[in-house]
Amino acid sequence: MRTAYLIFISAIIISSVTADKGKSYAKEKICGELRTIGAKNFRVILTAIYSQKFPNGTLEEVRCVADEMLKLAEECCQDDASPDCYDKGATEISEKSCGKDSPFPKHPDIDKCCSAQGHERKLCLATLRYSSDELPSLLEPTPEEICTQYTQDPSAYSIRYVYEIARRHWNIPAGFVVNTTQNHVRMAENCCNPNVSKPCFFKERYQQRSSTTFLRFLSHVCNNQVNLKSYQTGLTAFFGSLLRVPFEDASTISKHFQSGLAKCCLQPQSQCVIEEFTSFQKVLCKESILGTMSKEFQRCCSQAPQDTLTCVDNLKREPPKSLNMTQVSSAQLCEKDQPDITDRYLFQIGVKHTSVSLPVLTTIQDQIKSTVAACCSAPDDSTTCLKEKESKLEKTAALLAKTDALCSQYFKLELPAFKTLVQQEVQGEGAESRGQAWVELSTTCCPQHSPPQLCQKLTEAVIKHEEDATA
Amino acid sequence: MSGGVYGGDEVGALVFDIGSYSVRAGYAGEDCPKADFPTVIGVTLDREDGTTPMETDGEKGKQSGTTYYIDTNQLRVPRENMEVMSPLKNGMSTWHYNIPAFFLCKTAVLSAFANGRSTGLVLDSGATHTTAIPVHDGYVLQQGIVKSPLAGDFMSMQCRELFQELSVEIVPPYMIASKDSVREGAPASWKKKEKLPQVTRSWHNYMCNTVIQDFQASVLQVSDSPYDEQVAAQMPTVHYELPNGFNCDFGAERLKIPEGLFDPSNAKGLSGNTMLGVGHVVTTSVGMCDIDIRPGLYGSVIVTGGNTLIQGFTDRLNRELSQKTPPSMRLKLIASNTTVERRFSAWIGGSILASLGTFQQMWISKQEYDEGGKQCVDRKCP
Repeated sequence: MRTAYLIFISAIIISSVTADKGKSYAKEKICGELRTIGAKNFRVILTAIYSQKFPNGTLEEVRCVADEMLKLAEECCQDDASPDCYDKGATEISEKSCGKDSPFPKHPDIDKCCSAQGHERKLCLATLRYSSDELPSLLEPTPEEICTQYTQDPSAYSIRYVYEIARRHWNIPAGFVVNTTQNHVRMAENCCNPNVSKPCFFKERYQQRSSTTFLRFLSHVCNNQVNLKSYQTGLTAFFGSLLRVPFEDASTISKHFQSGLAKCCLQPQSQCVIEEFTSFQKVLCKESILGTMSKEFQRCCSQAPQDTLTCVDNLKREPPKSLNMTQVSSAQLCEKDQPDITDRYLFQIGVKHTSVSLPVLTTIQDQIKSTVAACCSAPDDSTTCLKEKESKLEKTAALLAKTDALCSQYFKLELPAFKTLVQQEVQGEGAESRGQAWVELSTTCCPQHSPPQLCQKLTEAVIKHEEDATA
Repeated sequence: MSGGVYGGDEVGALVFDIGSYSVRAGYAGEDCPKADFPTVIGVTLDREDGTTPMETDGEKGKQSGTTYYIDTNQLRVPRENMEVMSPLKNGMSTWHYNIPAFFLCKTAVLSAFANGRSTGLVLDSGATHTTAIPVHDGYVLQQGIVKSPLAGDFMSMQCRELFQELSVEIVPPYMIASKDSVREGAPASWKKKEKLPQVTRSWHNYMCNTVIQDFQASVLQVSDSPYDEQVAAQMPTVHYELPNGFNCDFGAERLKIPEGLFDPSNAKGLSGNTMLGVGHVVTTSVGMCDIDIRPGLYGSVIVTGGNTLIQGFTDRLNRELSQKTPPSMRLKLIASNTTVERRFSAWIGGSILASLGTFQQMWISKQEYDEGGKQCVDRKCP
């Protein structure tokens, strides 16, 4: 299924707020696609888009809004439909969304939109984006379970599957979600008739390995991109320790990667991501770096762009043995003639701690950044301010070192032994609740792909506990 | 790969799963291996004085020099100067056998797929190691692999110690001409065969091990809860007779020996307490993986390997994991009831993979290997 239509389908959602000539252009394209791919596939795409938009909605609610939009498209694509058909229909739908007994999914901020009127309300509703804590990943069903459910009602199964996948991957282009669903439904179609065929499932799953792994990777990096304020700062340290390059090079590489994510994660089509990652692979795997890298890294670079990134993501990073750069001290952080000095400082401390996951690293870096920014913009002497905050900055940096040490131990010890270790390390006032906070942070956030929102919260909780203890 | 090079559509593949204890081999597309034989080679070398060693009937007319013996039947015939060695430890090269093309795949991935899953925690307990390998979306998560040396060979060692304590000699069948029946627990009474060739120590040990392994498979049982002396004393006994006629009823020992797999703290012969029991091997492995995939791993714990066939192994593992995981965690052990599938799941996975139509594009030809070296293996083989 071509994914070019996706950008036009999202135009349905926003079409009523675009300019007049945009409207008719969108209508032609949408109606053309509807005719080409058919109502059934169109419904799947709409379900994906709305499940991503409302991960907290029930299947019923999402189905409801997707069906309404499909009905609207079908009505307005009739030859005898009036030119303002979309506009009128979209307005009706937005009125319905704001109604008391709306059958559509409810976004927490919907009341804010509904208090506006007309054009503004529609624009507000169209651009609502949900932000929730991550949902648990789907358990892999057995071939028998798939076949039982699929053969009962193939079409309902496919809608339910796209809903469950889309609401768990809501920060990535819908195109990837639709592609995954199609692969899965095709597998059920081929392997359940006439009986459950294990070799068939084996073959299909084996062939889908690369794309399912990539989906997870993309979801992870896009979640980080959307949720972590200082993601780029964290990425600089990440690439610095991975590629063993100095700040300038690491910064260029991380900017390239992060700007690609910023551009493409929330676009509905997959093409943007594919192009960006293809160009990024060239940067990551360029000859000058490749020669000095490990065999594993070189092996990663010999694969297709998507596989290179997932492969590199799994490589072990080591703290650099020697940093070929002048060390930045906290006292210099407000020097006007060096605009990126804070970033250098954060790189310096971040690159050493390779056992800390990005959500934790960036939250701590964020904390340091805020402290520094407050000083640099202080009406009084920023140097004095920095001096006063020096111990706070050191303590925050020390938290990073402590997290690194604890996470290294977390992967070596059994959980009961780890808890004992934490209890021994955490002494003084409020030791029990502080210890609890550290254990929670470690068990959830030490693994590399830890959930960004939750880990941000847990890191902030630990920072607060430690601040209160030393206050 | 063009079909022309390899004879068109009718290209078959041989599938080998080479373990420390046994090799499973057969044809792609079949549902179980045709051959299952020990991973040892018997090597005879000429005597130092230039005379040739004793030949058996099958080898008349063979030239003197190095002779290799594989397979149980060949190996069990006592021969002079035949040393037993493991090809795994001593290196092996496939190219000596003029193989036109090959493909390697990690056994954990194959076991998972053979059990209908691309995600799961593969627990493989064989002869030398008990290993937990997390597999997610068909790829092994290297950082989560946990290995423990407590496996089949460890239990064999414990069995040997038991017999030493009982002052019972392990005599393999090849030495025994005749035996008398004796009372339970009484010393054995047997006659040694005359005119036995001068066998090597390595071969003699190998034959003793087969006696121990038979005892292991027949008598041992894993307790369904942590070992308790009083409970073990109530255990129904199993009668076992060694090849030399010594026979005894075994009760508490049946549970005590395999307990070391799950709770190494009290096991004899272990230096320090740093070994992980089977339950901990699993939970440690899962704990090294991202938090959001852990339910998927606990929901598919795939149990494979010959050592897991000990009676009671999976029940005890289930109990241990239920206690170590949160109540909300859905725990599912996938353990085939048949010996065939449990020991052969990796082979079966390989058989399915090698029979897929797309497989022919995957394998590495001799030419590719000659040109690309080991790197093409790393690149092409998951």
